[in-house]
This record gives sequence, structure tokens and C-alpha cells, in this order.
Amino acid sequence: MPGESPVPGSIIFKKKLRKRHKKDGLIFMHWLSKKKYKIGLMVPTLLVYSIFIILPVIIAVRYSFTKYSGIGQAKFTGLKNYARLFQDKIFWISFKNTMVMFVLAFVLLLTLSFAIALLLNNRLKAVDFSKALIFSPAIIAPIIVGIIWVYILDPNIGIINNVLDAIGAGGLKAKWIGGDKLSPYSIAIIYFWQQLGYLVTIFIAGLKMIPGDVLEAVKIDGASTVQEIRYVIIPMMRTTISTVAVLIITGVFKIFEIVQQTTGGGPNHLSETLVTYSYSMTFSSSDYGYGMSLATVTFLLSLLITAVYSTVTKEREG
Amino acid sequence: MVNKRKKAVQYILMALITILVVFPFVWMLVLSFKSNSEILSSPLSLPKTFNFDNYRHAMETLNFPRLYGNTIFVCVISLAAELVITFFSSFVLARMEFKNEKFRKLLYGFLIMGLSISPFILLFPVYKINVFFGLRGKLALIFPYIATSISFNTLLLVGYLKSLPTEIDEAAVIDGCNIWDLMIRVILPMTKPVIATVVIFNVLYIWNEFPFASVMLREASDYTLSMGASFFKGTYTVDYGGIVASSVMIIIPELIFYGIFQKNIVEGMTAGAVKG
Amino acid sequence: MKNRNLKRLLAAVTVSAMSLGLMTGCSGGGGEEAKTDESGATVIKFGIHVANPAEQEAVTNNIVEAFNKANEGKYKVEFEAADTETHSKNMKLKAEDGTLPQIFWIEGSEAPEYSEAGVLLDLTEFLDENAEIKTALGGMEEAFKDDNGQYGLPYQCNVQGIFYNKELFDQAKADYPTDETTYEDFIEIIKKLKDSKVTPLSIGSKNSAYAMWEFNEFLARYGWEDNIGNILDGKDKFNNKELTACFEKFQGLKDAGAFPENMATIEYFDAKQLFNEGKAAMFGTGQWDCAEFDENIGDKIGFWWGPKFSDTQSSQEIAMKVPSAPIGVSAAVADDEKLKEGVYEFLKFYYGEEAAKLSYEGSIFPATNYEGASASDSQYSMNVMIDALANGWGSPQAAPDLTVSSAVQEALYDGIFGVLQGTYQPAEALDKLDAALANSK
Repeated sequence: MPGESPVPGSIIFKKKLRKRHKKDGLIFMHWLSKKKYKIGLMVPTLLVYSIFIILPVIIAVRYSFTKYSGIGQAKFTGLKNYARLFQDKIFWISFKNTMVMFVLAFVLLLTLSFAIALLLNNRLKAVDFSKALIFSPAIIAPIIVGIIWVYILDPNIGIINNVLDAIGAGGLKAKWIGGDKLSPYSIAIIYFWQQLGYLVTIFIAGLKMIPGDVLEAVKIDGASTVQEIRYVIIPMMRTTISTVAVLIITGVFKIFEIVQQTTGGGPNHLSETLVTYSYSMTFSSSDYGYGMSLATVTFLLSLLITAVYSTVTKEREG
Repeated sequence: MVNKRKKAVQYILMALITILVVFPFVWMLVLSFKSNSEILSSPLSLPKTFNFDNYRHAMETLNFPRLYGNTIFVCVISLAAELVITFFSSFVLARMEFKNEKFRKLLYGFLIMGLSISPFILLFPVYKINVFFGLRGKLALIFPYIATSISFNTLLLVGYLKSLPTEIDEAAVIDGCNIWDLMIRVILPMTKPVIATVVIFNVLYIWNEFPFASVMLREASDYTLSMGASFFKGTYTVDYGGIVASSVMIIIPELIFYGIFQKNIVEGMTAGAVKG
Repeated sequence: MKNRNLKRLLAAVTVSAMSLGLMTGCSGGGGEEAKTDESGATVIKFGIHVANPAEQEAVTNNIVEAFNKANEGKYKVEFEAADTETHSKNMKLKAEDGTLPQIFWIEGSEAPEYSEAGVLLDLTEFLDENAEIKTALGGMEEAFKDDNGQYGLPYQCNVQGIFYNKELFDQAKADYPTDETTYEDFIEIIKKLKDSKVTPLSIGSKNSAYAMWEFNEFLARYGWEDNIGNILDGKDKFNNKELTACFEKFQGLKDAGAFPENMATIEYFDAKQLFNEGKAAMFGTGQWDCAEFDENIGDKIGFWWGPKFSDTQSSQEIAMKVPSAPIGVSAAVADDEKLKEGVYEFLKFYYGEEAAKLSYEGSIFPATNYEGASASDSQYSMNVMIDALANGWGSPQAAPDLTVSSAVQEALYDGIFGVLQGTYQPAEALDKLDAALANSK
């Protein structure tokens, strides 16, 4: 526990932190927190959100209990779509792939983007330039991201296998995409590449919010870098870290274009994710009802994991 | 001595990461100078000559001024609206007092939930809702964009607003600020780094968004940039050269935009501005 | 002080809400009724499945331009263009809110759904009024008829089979395939080609499961047309003797190494490129690629329907000249005499002789047949197809993959590619078809 920390300045900082984070301290806000302000300021957001997000989701969920091709009349079929889903082998394959991608992307992205943000927060020459470049993948349309990576990972024309051949390591060649095993891992790596710049940016913005005098004080106290990160930066970055975690969790469950471009979910749905499978059912097979039941399950799963994450981290903090 | 070595390691790491990350991006630039059949048949080779055919072709096929114009229009309106409304609602959620703490959490969770929704679930229902409200043309796009940004903005803004020291409010209230002054004059300037982050992400999202744009826009005169790539892929033909070149042209303004924002705003902020 | 600010805020919100209401109120009215352009011409919307028709559907674009020129000031056809995936989504949405374009291209397997929903105009009247067009279509329109009448007309006519590169066959010392070439001969040819270091049959399965045109011939020669009615009625199953034999042939092709190794990560376009560059000896497709082959392969091109099979009783003398996906007319057109007149006028032109000629010029077989409309000598690919058609074999009423609903169609593509890639055994693939059919009921 940080409480028993041997670091000289740390106890002082903890006190400071506790004070900052104490929500009960908002006493002075009391007389500004009038109901009419709150309602007036919340209503526009709630209105737009309810009409264009919540209502559509309700409509979509309603369709998940029907048989509907997208045109004509939807026929109510009760829980039939959900019953079918649990017996659908491809659903379980997509589920497994999505979970593989989730675990891999979560671990890699959270740790490495934090580390890189720390690195780039140092006063280095050309650091702005580097930041802009690291961010650049995030501005490429996802469709193009897929095309680029096909030329890297494709078993025949991709760079990796060709380079392996050239250096006489042909034995290491693999079907990075398009085979029956590695696709979800490769897709997680592509997603990592695409998201890294985004998350680094958020972390850097978070680091900038740490008051300069706090860090100065640490320096004067002679805390080592590791101690500084562990006892000062991480506790102060808690909100940012959980923000990024939530973005990763919910993001992984929305990966779509990368899969479509690299494998199209193939061969034979073996690299399908929950979203792509649900898309393919909805639009290619014109089975809107079943597609929406898949989408509903995906949505609930993503919510569940986010909720579990918040509970676990809250308990640790608390 | 130790410090010097540490700096050197940092530089090497920075260079390494940058090169690794940027490599595929550079490669896309290379591809954009190759002919379509070169891309398909020998993707690994460097272009024989620097030819601008793909760019010429992209310019001929796409009405770039109009595409840029539409995108910027949609972008500016959506951005202005979403920033204002989400800043207000996030301010309420982060800094105002709720009698019932659970209600605040519920409201927050409700707004964050949208992050879990993949956009194509929304396509058909949102289309129908647009029809119901008579929203057409670019307006049919602006409302969904504002709505989809709410969850993300709330997540970021509430997080940062909460982390600002409460002494600020106390001091402001003692100085006689009303709520308007507090939000706009005191808190807003302090949140510049996160506002910049939100702006960047919101703009990029709108700039690259395809599913909504392709379904909601009916008239070619309303088309946005992200629809450009679809002009190069027919049922039986595909022009990768055209796709890549038009993508580069879509990206350039984004790069410039990002460059400006990250230098002038994110970097311009000194962390010390927030004194506890 | 603070109260005034709040009022200001509220006022701003109210004003913006009201102006929004006004804007939407203004634009909200009016369906897709007859519109006229500056010259007073009635505008007819044509919903097409590519985003850039001038390049991606050049023939249709030329026909529309010719029509517009001939009817200047009277009618004007305008495209509503989007890529296929988006187009299909959009048409469904527009069918729901009654804003369909007057004429639109429909995904073949989805057309019956539109017809059942009652959004398509019955074109029987049009065909009765224009007997010469009915004759020129020569029965091609039969594929798009149901209880609601003639709900669509063929957009074009597809001639599908296997193109081959004679030069590569010569190098491999393999005989050119003929009408009599059997499946066993075919396997031998594949082995020879493989030995000469070219990919025998180019195919890509990523994002383009529909690229299986050469296998329609396989299905047809295993009695698809006779059996499909029973299967769809539940009297028979996909997993039957005939189709099992057929799917085993797919497996045989895979075992002989007929396909590119990376077929799962390349698309139809990449597969075509392999053929264009002489890296693959055969490629299954239809006439739409003719112009491209003329440019890349020239007079070295050959065309073949596919192998004959001996383990079936079904007829082997089958060609594959079939209607492509249909175009339909929105039922709303019937409410506006002037618009209806214009649409009929355009259809008359589209299925007329002049359009047929334009079509041949662009190496596309029109749905109609007119004397004197044919390909020029330098259209090598088109001519080898016309030669192949000269044997007078009949064709099915519709391509096998277009005779089933979208869900079954997806399962069919999936099953074929699964067997081609070795992820499915033939029986397993056919069971999936049966399951898809059961689920779609």
C-alpha cells in the first residue's frame, strides 16, 4: 500500500491528493447548484442523446425479437433469435475472436500508451514532431488502415513473409491473416497501431493537468522516476487511466473496418468478430432481426465488461 | 552523467517508436504514386516514376472544393453545438451538488453508455427518426453526429472537470462570481488541454465518418469527404490508386489541423496554470 | 446579474430550437413527386449500384446520356448513385418511407422481398404495350415475375464462364478446353498448369463471396434448376446426392491445387489482376470484364463454359446466359401520369435497339436481342463468348445463386468457398445451406 511508502514527500502528497479528491469539499457549490441551473444545462444534451441514441437502440432491440428483412412487415417471433444465437457456432467463434482481441488490445494499449505518453512528456527536442507522427495513424480513414495492413500481413504479397524469406527465416512464415488461427491477434495489433496515437494524446493531456508545482516538489525531494510514477503520477492520473480503459473496452467491441478490409471475416467466418458477424447477418443475409439480436448481445457484453472494470477499480481505490 | 544517458535512451526510444508507427503511413504515400496495376501486382516495389496520375484522376473524379466545403460545414456546426451542450452537461455532472449521489452516477452512466453502441445499429432507426422530424440534407447528418459525440465528450470532460481542485470554485464564489462567470471565465480557460483533445477527436470522427454519411445524404451536392473512396470501387472494378490518392488528399487538411492544434493549444498551456 | 445571464441562455436555446423547427418545417414537406429541371424537363431518378456511373457503369451511363439528349427539354434521367452496399441499404430505407427513385437496380435475391412489400410497379402493361421489346427480351423477363406480376426487368444479361489465357496453356502444353472437356480432363489440365508454375484458376474470396460465377455452371449441370423448387418447398434437402457429388468436385479442385494460396485475403479484383498479368491461367467471370481482358490479354483469350460431369443424370448441355439483377420501377410512379409516361419512355429506350448497340460497344450483353447489334472484331473477349454461345445450348431461367433468398445465398457462397479452402467438408457445407433455409422460414 502506498501508505507505508518510504518516499520522503509522499505522505504530504497523499494528503494533498485526498483533499483535492474529496467530493464533499464542494460545499461552496451548494448555492450555485440550483435545480433550474442543473435542468437548464442538462436538457439539451439529454434531449439530443435520447432522441438520436437511446430511441434508436430501443427500436433496434425491438427488432431483435422479430423476423424482418429490412423491407415490409416485421413478424414478431419472441425469443427465437436469441435461442438461435446460442446454438450458432459462428456466434461463438466471433465471441472468442472478440475476447482474444479485447485482452490483447487492452493490455498492450493501456500499458504502452501510458509509457509512451510519459516518454513524450519529457522535454526532448523534436518531441512535438514525434507526437504528431505517432498520432498520424489515427487520422487515416479506417478503410485505408485495412488496405495498408493487407500489404504487410498478407501471406503471399505481404512484407513480413517476404522479408522472412529474404533473410532465410522462411520457417517463421505464417498466415498472419486469412488463416484459421492468427487473424484475431493480427487484427488486435492493427487496432493497437491505429489507436496508440489517440490514447497517447489523452494521456498527455492528463499529464498536463498535473500541477507543475507537485512535480517540482517531487524532484526536489529526490524521488526516483519509478517512485514518482507510482506514487504521484498514477494516483493523480486515475481518472485519465479509467477514461482510457473505458475507451479501449468499448472501442474493441466496435472494431469493424479493419476486419472487413483484411479478411472480410473469412475464411468462412473464422475471423469474424461480433460486430462484423452481426453486420453480415443484418445486411448481407438481409436477416435484420437476427442481426439486431447479435448487436444487442454485443452491446450488453461491452456494457458488462465496462461495468465490471469500474467496480473492480473502484474497490481498489476505495 | 546518468542524466545524459537517460536522455539518450529517451531519444532512441522516441525515434524508434515514431519510425515504427509512421512506417505504414509513409508507405501509403508511396503507394499513392504507383499505378493501380503496380499496386496490385508488385505492392512491395517502389514506384518506377513519381507520377501524379492518381492525384489527377482523383481531382477529376471528385469535386474536392464541394466535398471539403460540405465536410467543413457539417464539422463546424456539429462541433460548435456538441461542445457547448456537452460542456454544460459535464459541468453539472462533475461540479454541481446532487442531493442524491446515486442519481448523478446514474445520469453519468446513462450518457457514457453510448460508447458501447456500434454505429450501424443506429443506421436504420436514425434514418426513420430523421424522416419523422423532417430532417434532410446535411441536417440529417448533423444531429446524429452531435448525438454520437455526447458519450465520448462526457467521458473526457467530466473526468477532467472533476480533477480540477475545488478551491477554484470556492475562491470564485467568494469573489462573487455567478454560475455563468464560473463556467465560462474561470473553469473553461483551465480546461483548454482537454477541450483541445475533444475538438481534435470530434473533428477527426466527423471527417472520417462513413456509415451515417452514406445513408443519410441523398444528394450528391451534400456529399462529404469520407464518401470519396466509394467513387473508386465499383462492382467489378477497383481503383486502389484512386482510393489511396483521394485518402491522402482527405488526410492533408487533418494533418495541418492537428499540427496547429497540438502546437498552439495543447503545448501552449503550461501545467502550472492550475494552481492548487 | 446571474439571472439575466440565465435568461439570455434560455433565450438562446429557445431561438435556436425555433429556428431549427422552421428549417425542418420548410424542408420537411413534399415527397418525391415529379420534379422538373430548369429547362422544364421532367426529372426521372435512376438509383444505381455504383458511386461513379460514368466510370463504373459506363454502358448504362452512355444509354442515359443518349436518352437525355434525344429527349432534351422533355425528360431527364438523373442517377442516384452509391456503392452497392450503400445502395442496397438506401433502397430498403426509401422503400419504407416512400421516397424510392422512380427506377432502381435491385440486388437479385432481394427483389422478391420488394415485390412482396408492394413497392414495385407491375410492368406487364408496359410489355403488352411494347410487343417488340417483349420479343427482344425473349423470355429473359420471366425470372422476375411472381403473384404480383412483372415486378422487374433484367438490367443486363450476364454470360458467365471461365476465361483462359491461351499462351499459358501453350506453355504448359495443355489442350484448350472445349465443350466436350470432362471434369477428369479438367483436373489433368490443372495439374499441367500447376507444373508450369502458374496459378491454374484465379479466385479471391475476401469481401467478394459473390465471385463464384464459374461454379454456377457446376450447380446447373447437377440439376439445380429441377431440384431447387423441391428443396425450397421442404420436399428435398440441399444435402442430397446430386449436390453432394457437385460439392465433391469443388473439393477435387482444391485438392488438385487449382487456386491461389492466399485466396482468403485477396479480393475478386486482385484475383482478376493475377489473370490480367499472366500469372494465372484461368479466371471465372462474366462479360463485364471483357474490355479489361481485351486490353491485357488481347487475342490470346479463350472462353469455356466449364467441365462436363459423368456421375449425374442431369443435362450437361447447358450454357450460362442469364438475366442479371433486375431493375424495378417504384409503384408510386403510377400516381403521376406524366412521370409514368417518362419512365415508360425511358424503358422503351433502354430496351430498344439503339441502347443494345451502345451496350455491345461497351462489351456488355444487353438483355435484349436485336439483329445487327453485335461486337466488332477487336472485341476479342466478347467474340469468344459469342462463339461459345453459337452451340445453341439452352440456359437456365436464372443463375442458380439468384434463385434463393439472401440468407440461403450467403450460405451457398460460404459453403462453396468453405469447401474450396478446406474449412468445410461437402456434407457439412450443404447442411449449413439447409440450416440457413430453415432459419429463413
